[in-house]
Amino acid sequence: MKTLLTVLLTLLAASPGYAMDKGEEAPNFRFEASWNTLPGARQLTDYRGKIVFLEIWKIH
Amino acid sequence: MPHLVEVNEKYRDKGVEIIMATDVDKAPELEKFIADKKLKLGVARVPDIYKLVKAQGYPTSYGIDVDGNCIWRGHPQQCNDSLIEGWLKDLRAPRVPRKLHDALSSAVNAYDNGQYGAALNGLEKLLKHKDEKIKADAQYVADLLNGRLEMNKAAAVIHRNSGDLERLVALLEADARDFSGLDYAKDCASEAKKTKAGKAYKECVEAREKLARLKPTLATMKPADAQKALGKLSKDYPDTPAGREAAELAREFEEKK
Repeated sequence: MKTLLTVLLTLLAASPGYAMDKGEEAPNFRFEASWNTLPGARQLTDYRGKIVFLEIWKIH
Repeated sequence: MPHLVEVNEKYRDKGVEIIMATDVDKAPELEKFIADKKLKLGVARVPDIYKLVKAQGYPTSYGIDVDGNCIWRGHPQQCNDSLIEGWLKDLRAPRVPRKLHDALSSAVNAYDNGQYGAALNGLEKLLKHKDEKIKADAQYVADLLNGRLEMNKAAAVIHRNSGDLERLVALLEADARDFSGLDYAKDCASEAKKTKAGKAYKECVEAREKLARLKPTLATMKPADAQKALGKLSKDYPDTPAGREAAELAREFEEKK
Protein backbone atom coordinates (compact mmCIF):
# COMPACT_ATOMS: atom_id res chain seq x y z
CA MET A 1 0.00 0.00 0.00
CA LYS A 2 2.80 2.33 1.03
CA THR A 3 4.67 1.53 -2.21
CA LEU A 4 1.54 2.21 -4.28
CA LEU A 5 1.06 5.56 -2.55
CA THR A 6 4.70 6.48 -3.18
CA VAL A 7 4.34 5.58 -6.87
CA LEU A 8 1.15 7.66 -7.17
CA LEU A 9 2.72 10.65 -5.43
CA THR A 10 5.79 10.40 -7.66
CA LEU A 11 3.58 10.30 -10.76
CA LEU A 12 1.61 13.32 -9.57
CA ALA A 13 4.79 15.27 -8.87
CA ALA A 14 6.16 14.44 -12.33
CA SER A 15 2.91 15.40 -14.06
CA PRO A 16 3.14 18.74 -15.92
CA GLY A 17 -0.34 19.68 -14.64
CA TYR A 18 -2.87 21.42 -16.83
CA ALA A 19 -1.31 23.09 -19.84
CA MET A 20 -1.72 26.82 -20.28
CA ASP A 21 -5.00 27.21 -22.09
CA LYS A 22 -7.41 29.76 -23.54
CA GLY A 23 -8.29 32.60 -21.17
CA GLU A 24 -5.30 32.03 -18.90
CA GLU A 25 -2.70 34.75 -18.42
CA ALA A 26 0.63 33.71 -19.91
CA PRO A 27 3.52 33.67 -17.42
CA ASN A 28 5.88 36.58 -17.86
CA PHE A 29 9.04 34.73 -18.79
CA ARG A 30 12.35 36.52 -19.33
CA PHE A 31 14.71 35.88 -22.21
CA GLU A 32 18.12 34.73 -21.06
CA ALA A 33 19.29 35.25 -24.64
CA SER A 34 17.40 36.15 -27.80
CA TRP A 35 17.82 36.40 -31.55
CA ASN A 36 15.63 38.34 -34.04
CA THR A 37 13.07 39.12 -31.34
CA LEU A 38 11.22 42.44 -31.02
CA PRO A 39 13.92 45.13 -30.68
CA GLY A 40 14.42 46.02 -27.03
CA ALA A 41 12.24 43.17 -25.73
CA ARG A 42 13.63 41.17 -22.81
CA GLN A 43 10.48 39.48 -21.52
CA LEU A 44 6.98 38.54 -22.62
CA THR A 45 5.32 41.66 -21.14
CA ASP A 46 7.42 43.76 -23.54
CA TYR A 47 5.15 42.35 -26.26
CA ARG A 48 2.00 43.95 -24.81
CA GLY A 49 0.10 45.46 -27.72
CA LYS A 50 1.30 42.70 -30.06
CA ILE A 51 -0.23 39.33 -30.79
CA VAL A 52 2.32 36.65 -30.02
CA PHE A 53 2.66 33.25 -31.60
CA LEU A 54 4.69 31.36 -29.02
CA GLU A 55 6.25 28.06 -29.93
CA ILE A 56 7.93 25.85 -27.35
CA TRP A 57 10.51 23.77 -29.16
CA LYS A 58 13.65 21.74 -28.87
CA ILE A 59 16.60 21.20 -31.20
CA HIS A 60 16.45 17.67 -32.58
CA MET B 1 9.18 25.68 -39.22
CA PRO B 2 9.13 26.82 -42.90
CA HIS B 3 5.47 27.79 -42.61
CA LEU B 4 6.31 29.92 -39.56
CA VAL B 5 8.83 31.79 -41.72
CA GLU B 6 5.95 32.62 -44.07
CA VAL B 7 3.73 33.67 -41.17
CA ASN B 8 6.54 35.88 -39.89
CA GLU B 9 7.05 37.59 -43.24
CA LYS B 10 3.36 38.08 -43.85
CA TYR B 11 2.17 39.23 -40.44
CA ARG B 12 5.11 40.76 -38.56
CA ASP B 13 4.36 44.26 -39.78
CA LYS B 14 0.68 43.78 -39.00
CA GLY B 15 1.25 43.22 -35.28
CA VAL B 16 2.00 39.50 -34.94
CA GLU B 17 5.33 38.47 -33.42
CA ILE B 18 6.73 34.96 -33.30
CA ILE B 19 8.73 33.79 -30.30
CA MET B 20 10.30 30.37 -30.56
CA ALA B 21 11.21 29.66 -26.96
CA THR B 22 13.50 26.86 -25.94
CA ASP B 23 15.17 25.87 -22.70
CA VAL B 24 18.20 24.36 -24.41
CA ASP B 25 21.07 25.20 -22.07
CA LYS B 26 23.83 25.15 -24.64
CA ALA B 27 23.87 28.64 -26.16
CA PRO B 28 26.56 27.82 -28.78
CA GLU B 29 24.47 24.87 -30.02
CA LEU B 30 21.46 27.16 -30.37
CA GLU B 31 23.50 29.86 -32.07
CA LYS B 32 24.85 27.32 -34.56
CA PHE B 33 21.32 26.07 -35.28
CA ILE B 34 20.09 29.62 -35.96
CA ALA B 35 23.09 30.37 -38.20
CA ASP B 36 22.87 27.05 -40.10
CA LYS B 37 19.16 27.48 -40.77
CA LYS B 38 19.58 31.22 -41.45
CA LEU B 39 16.62 31.58 -39.12
CA LYS B 40 15.00 35.00 -39.12
CA LEU B 41 12.30 34.11 -36.63
CA GLY B 42 12.38 35.44 -33.09
CA VAL B 43 14.17 32.86 -30.94
CA ALA B 44 14.57 33.09 -27.18
CA ARG B 45 16.37 30.96 -24.67
CA VAL B 46 14.15 30.75 -21.61
CA PRO B 47 15.15 28.46 -18.75
CA ASP B 48 12.26 26.23 -17.64
CA ILE B 49 9.90 27.51 -20.36
CA TYR B 50 8.46 24.01 -20.70
CA LYS B 51 7.43 24.00 -17.05
CA LEU B 52 6.38 27.66 -17.04
CA VAL B 53 3.71 27.16 -19.67
CA LYS B 54 3.01 23.62 -18.47
CA ALA B 55 3.62 22.28 -21.97
CA GLN B 56 2.76 18.65 -22.54
CA GLY B 57 4.94 17.89 -25.53
CA TYR B 58 7.25 19.36 -28.15
CA PRO B 59 6.46 21.35 -30.14
CA THR B 60 3.50 23.11 -28.59
CA SER B 61 2.36 26.56 -29.60
CA TYR B 62 0.18 29.26 -28.14
CA GLY B 63 -1.56 32.40 -29.34
CA ILE B 64 -1.25 35.27 -26.86
CA ASP B 65 -3.33 38.43 -27.15
CA VAL B 66 -2.33 42.07 -26.72
CA ASP B 67 -2.89 41.87 -22.95
CA GLY B 68 -0.78 38.74 -22.48
CA ASN B 69 -3.64 36.23 -22.25
CA CYS B 70 -3.63 32.86 -23.97
CA ILE B 71 -6.17 32.77 -26.81
CA TRP B 72 -5.15 29.52 -28.50
CA ARG B 73 -3.12 26.38 -27.93
CA GLY B 74 -2.21 23.80 -30.54
CA HIS B 75 0.42 22.27 -32.78
CA PRO B 76 2.47 24.78 -34.83
CA GLN B 77 1.24 23.09 -38.03
CA GLN B 78 -2.30 24.18 -37.15
CA CYS B 79 -1.24 27.81 -37.42
CA ASN B 80 -2.67 29.16 -40.68
CA ASP B 81 -3.83 32.41 -42.26
CA SER B 82 -7.44 32.16 -41.13
CA LEU B 83 -6.37 31.54 -37.52
CA ILE B 84 -4.06 34.56 -37.50
CA GLU B 85 -6.46 36.80 -39.35
CA GLY B 86 -9.06 35.92 -36.72
CA TRP B 87 -6.64 37.09 -34.02
CA LEU B 88 -5.85 40.27 -35.92
CA LYS B 89 -9.52 41.28 -35.78
CA ASP B 90 -8.93 41.76 -32.04
CA LEU B 91 -5.77 43.81 -32.50
CA ARG B 92 -6.15 46.82 -30.23
CA ALA B 93 -4.19 48.74 -27.64
CA PRO B 94 -3.46 46.71 -24.49
CA ARG B 95 -5.42 47.53 -21.36
CA VAL B 96 -3.92 48.75 -18.09
CA PRO B 97 -3.18 45.45 -16.38
CA ARG B 98 -4.55 46.24 -12.94
CA LYS B 99 -7.36 48.13 -11.18
CA LEU B 100 -6.37 51.70 -10.38
CA HIS B 101 -7.70 54.62 -8.33
CA ASP B 102 -10.77 56.33 -9.87
CA ALA B 103 -8.81 59.59 -10.11
CA LEU B 104 -6.92 57.96 -12.97
CA SER B 105 -10.02 57.01 -14.96
CA SER B 106 -9.46 59.57 -17.70
CA ALA B 107 -5.78 58.63 -18.15
CA VAL B 108 -6.64 54.92 -18.02
CA ASN B 109 -9.35 55.44 -20.63
CA ALA B 110 -6.83 57.19 -22.91
CA TYR B 111 -4.33 54.36 -22.32
CA ASP B 112 -6.91 51.68 -23.11
CA ASN B 113 -7.68 53.48 -26.37
CA GLY B 114 -4.04 53.66 -27.37
CA GLN B 115 -3.81 57.44 -26.82
CA TYR B 116 -0.54 57.25 -24.93
CA GLY B 117 0.41 60.92 -25.30
CA ALA B 118 -2.94 62.02 -23.87
CA ALA B 119 -2.55 59.47 -21.06
CA LEU B 120 0.92 60.74 -20.14
CA ASN B 121 -0.26 64.36 -20.22
CA GLY B 122 -3.22 63.42 -18.01
CA LEU B 123 -0.89 61.78 -15.51
CA GLU B 124 1.40 64.77 -15.10
CA LYS B 125 -0.57 66.42 -12.27
CA LEU B 126 -1.42 63.09 -10.65
CA LEU B 127 2.27 62.25 -10.34
CA LYS B 128 2.54 65.13 -7.84
CA HIS B 129 -0.74 64.33 -6.04
CA LYS B 130 -0.70 64.45 -2.23
CA ASP B 131 -2.59 61.14 -1.99
CA GLU B 132 0.14 58.48 -2.03
CA LYS B 133 -2.14 55.83 -3.57
CA ILE B 134 -3.03 58.09 -6.50
CA LYS B 135 0.59 59.10 -6.89
CA ALA B 136 1.76 55.47 -6.91
CA ASP B 137 -0.92 54.44 -9.41
CA ALA B 138 -0.01 57.38 -11.66
CA GLN B 139 3.64 56.40 -11.45
CA TYR B 140 2.74 52.80 -12.33
CA VAL B 141 0.93 53.85 -15.54
CA ALA B 142 3.61 56.42 -16.41
CA ASP B 143 6.26 53.69 -16.07
CA LEU B 144 4.30 51.39 -18.39
CA LEU B 145 4.03 54.14 -20.99
CA ASN B 146 7.59 55.36 -20.68
CA GLY B 147 8.78 51.75 -20.94
CA ARG B 148 6.87 51.42 -24.20
CA LEU B 149 8.25 54.72 -25.46
CA GLU B 150 11.85 53.73 -24.63
CA MET B 151 11.40 50.36 -26.30
CA ASN B 152 10.09 52.01 -29.46
CA LYS B 153 13.01 54.45 -29.43
CA ALA B 154 15.41 51.48 -29.15
CA ALA B 155 13.64 49.75 -32.05
CA ALA B 156 13.88 52.94 -34.14
CA VAL B 157 17.65 53.05 -33.55
CA ILE B 158 17.97 49.46 -34.77
CA HIS B 159 15.86 50.12 -37.90
CA ARG B 160 17.76 53.36 -38.59
CA ASN B 161 21.17 51.71 -38.25
CA SER B 162 20.24 48.72 -40.38
CA GLY B 163 18.71 50.89 -43.10
CA ASP B 164 15.31 49.26 -42.64
CA LEU B 165 13.60 52.53 -43.45
CA GLU B 166 10.14 51.15 -44.23
CA ARG B 167 9.95 49.62 -40.77
CA LEU B 168 11.39 52.81 -39.28
CA VAL B 169 8.72 54.96 -40.93
CA ALA B 170 5.93 52.59 -39.86
CA LEU B 171 7.16 52.79 -36.27
CA LEU B 172 7.56 56.58 -36.34
CA GLU B 173 4.11 57.10 -37.86
CA ALA B 174 2.52 54.86 -35.24
CA ASP B 175 4.29 56.73 -32.43
CA ALA B 176 3.39 60.12 -33.96
CA ARG B 177 -0.25 59.00 -33.71
CA ASP B 178 -0.17 57.15 -30.37
CA PHE B 179 1.94 59.70 -28.47
CA SER B 180 0.18 62.71 -29.98
CA GLY B 181 0.35 65.66 -27.59
CA LEU B 182 4.02 65.12 -26.72
CA ASP B 183 7.10 66.68 -28.34
CA TYR B 184 8.27 63.12 -29.02
CA ALA B 185 5.28 62.61 -31.35
CA LYS B 186 6.15 65.79 -33.26
CA ASP B 187 9.74 64.59 -33.66
CA CYS B 188 8.48 61.22 -34.93
CA ALA B 189 6.13 62.83 -37.46
CA SER B 190 8.89 65.10 -38.71
CA GLU B 191 11.46 62.29 -39.06
CA ALA B 192 8.90 60.04 -40.80
CA LYS B 193 8.10 62.77 -43.31
CA LYS B 194 11.76 63.54 -43.97
CA THR B 195 12.68 59.85 -44.29
CA LYS B 196 9.83 59.14 -46.71
CA ALA B 197 10.90 62.01 -48.94
CA GLY B 198 14.48 60.71 -49.12
CA LYS B 199 16.11 58.64 -51.86
CA ALA B 200 17.11 55.84 -49.47
CA TYR B 201 13.49 55.18 -48.45
CA LYS B 202 12.34 55.07 -52.07
CA GLU B 203 15.09 52.56 -52.81
CA CYS B 204 13.93 50.37 -49.91
CA VAL B 205 10.41 50.32 -51.34
CA GLU B 206 11.61 49.65 -54.91
CA ALA B 207 13.94 46.86 -53.80
CA ARG B 208 11.21 45.19 -51.72
CA GLU B 209 8.74 45.36 -54.61
CA LYS B 210 11.28 44.01 -57.12
CA LEU B 211 12.28 41.14 -54.83
CA ALA B 212 8.62 40.29 -54.22
CA ARG B 213 8.09 40.04 -57.99
CA LEU B 214 11.27 38.04 -58.49
CA LYS B 215 10.80 35.49 -55.70
CA PRO B 216 7.89 33.50 -57.20
CA THR B 217 9.83 33.07 -60.47
CA LEU B 218 13.06 31.78 -58.88
CA ALA B 219 11.93 28.17 -58.59
CA THR B 220 11.45 27.87 -62.34
CA MET B 221 14.74 29.58 -63.25
CA LYS B 222 18.10 27.95 -63.82
CA PRO B 223 20.28 28.46 -60.71
CA ALA B 224 22.74 30.57 -62.72
CA ASP B 225 19.96 32.86 -64.00
CA ALA B 226 18.39 33.14 -60.55
CA GLN B 227 21.78 34.01 -59.08
CA LYS B 228 22.34 36.63 -61.78
CA ALA B 229 18.94 38.28 -61.24
CA LEU B 230 19.37 38.30 -57.46
CA GLY B 231 22.94 39.53 -57.77
CA LYS B 232 21.80 42.47 -59.90
CA LEU B 233 19.11 43.39 -57.36
CA SER B 234 21.60 43.23 -54.49
CA LYS B 235 24.08 45.40 -56.41
CA ASP B 236 21.43 47.94 -57.40
CA TYR B 237 20.12 48.22 -53.82
CA PRO B 238 23.02 47.22 -51.53
CA ASP B 239 21.91 49.17 -48.46
CA THR B 240 18.34 47.97 -48.31
CA PRO B 241 16.87 44.98 -46.43
CA ALA B 242 15.61 43.48 -49.72
CA GLY B 243 19.01 44.03 -51.34
CA ARG B 244 20.70 42.15 -48.49
CA GLU B 245 18.13 39.36 -48.69
CA ALA B 246 18.73 39.12 -52.44
CA ALA B 247 22.48 38.81 -51.83
CA GLU B 248 21.84 36.00 -49.35
CA LEU B 249 19.55 34.18 -51.79
CA ALA B 250 22.11 34.65 -54.58
CA ARG B 251 24.70 32.89 -52.40
CA GLU B 252 22.30 29.97 -51.94
CA PHE B 253 21.89 29.67 -55.72
CA GLU B 254 25.66 29.86 -56.13
CA GLU B 255 25.93 26.78 -53.88
CA LYS B 256 23.30 24.96 -55.98
CA LYS B 257 25.10 25.62 -59.27
